[in-house]
Amino acid sequence: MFIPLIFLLIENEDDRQFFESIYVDHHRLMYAQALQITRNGQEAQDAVSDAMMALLKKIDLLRSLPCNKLRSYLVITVRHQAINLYNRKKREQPMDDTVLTAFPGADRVEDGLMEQSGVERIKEAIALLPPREKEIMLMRYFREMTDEEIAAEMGIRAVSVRVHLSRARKHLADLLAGREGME
Amino acid sequence: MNRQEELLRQACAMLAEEETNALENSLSPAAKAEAEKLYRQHRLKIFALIQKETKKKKGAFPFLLKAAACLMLIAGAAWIGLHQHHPDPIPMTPLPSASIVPYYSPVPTETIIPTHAPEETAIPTLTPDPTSTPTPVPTITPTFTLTPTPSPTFTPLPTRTPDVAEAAPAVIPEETSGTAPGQWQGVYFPQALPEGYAIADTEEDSSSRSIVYTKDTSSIIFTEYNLQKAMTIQEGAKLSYVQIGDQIGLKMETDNAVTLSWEMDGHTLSITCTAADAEEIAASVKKVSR
Repeated sequence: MFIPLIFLLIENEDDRQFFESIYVDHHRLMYAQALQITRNGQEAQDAVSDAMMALLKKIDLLRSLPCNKLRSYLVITVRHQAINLYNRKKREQPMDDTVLTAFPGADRVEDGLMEQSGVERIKEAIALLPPREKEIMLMRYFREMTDEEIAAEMGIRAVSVRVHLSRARKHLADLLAGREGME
Repeated sequence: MNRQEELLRQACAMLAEEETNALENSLSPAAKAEAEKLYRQHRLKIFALIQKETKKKKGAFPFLLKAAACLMLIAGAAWIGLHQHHPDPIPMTPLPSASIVPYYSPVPTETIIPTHAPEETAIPTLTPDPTSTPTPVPTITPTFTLTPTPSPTFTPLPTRTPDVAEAAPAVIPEETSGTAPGQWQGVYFPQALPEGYAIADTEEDSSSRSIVYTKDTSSIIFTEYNLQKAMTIQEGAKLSYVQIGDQIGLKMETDNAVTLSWEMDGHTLSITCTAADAEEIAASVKKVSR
């Protein structure tokens, strides 16, 4: 009689152990990252709590990640939560959500350019993007978040997320084409 | 996923790893210590969060599906149990009749000696008289007479206006209410402590209150915090979850003490024992009636 009930609990127990282990294993980097941005212990803890909530929604993705990528995923997630918290704390609009306009054809600008540039050069170009654009690129392409998830996390509308991504890709294309400050 | 997206994913993953490595390499000992301190203060809360979220994370559909599968499994097992033919657990082989040894031998009738002989009395036999005519049996018809009785008259009782105090609703004591020593100003208190312990000290501030019981070299400390509070975890403590009533509590075991902490109605409670059974004491904690 009890065996089926235990069977019902196995999956949750497994998830719990998985999350506890990743938190215990990587706590130092997570708190250090949060502290570096917020400069406040309480806010750093809040950022880690928010990050854990966000991570709990991505359990299947986290389980599929290799160890080094999992570590980066945790740190980048905490970083995004800390930035959001810091922005909210300063009562600043995290991103200008009203005056954005998409770059026409921005999605097509980099056609061919990416292929020629190679991953290493694209990575360097992303690193040179304005911080907000870089973070939104990481949210989309590293954390594999949807427009709606990014919008919810950043407190903006999904349509604005698409505009920001479009703008980031335009900047990226300019950097790769040597139209902006890249060697 | 197109080639561009794949390239962007790879580039972002490389960048994330590079930045994580850079962060790790840039951490000073002070920053590491600060991160460690935050972790120690905060981890109980995170463990509780993980436990709560992993319980409810799975959607209702898979859960219902599994629950239905379990019920079917149980029903199937029950059906098989009821309908299955159970062979006798010990096979019975009939013994050859020659080997049947009677438990008793019939006593030969000749050996029965009557101890007394019944007196011979003539039993009269009833013979019907053909000349007599049967007497008809009278039929009894019951008769009832109902005598009306006057119904009693009721005199109304004198009415009385209740006092204001009486008009207030009665306070029904909570089933779970308990008692506490006079000096305890908290909301909760353990109702069962091991014998021989006596109050040694009490402490109170704006956010918490503690009471210390001692017996020889053993002690029990019960603390109540007004708010939810993450407990500080000692280095090397063995951590486990325990059920305290309908709450999940955290058990921290060190070489010389056991601490249980759990929440009740927005209060954080903790019991630290050096020798007694902390779980037993925790199970007896009840809201104090005043």
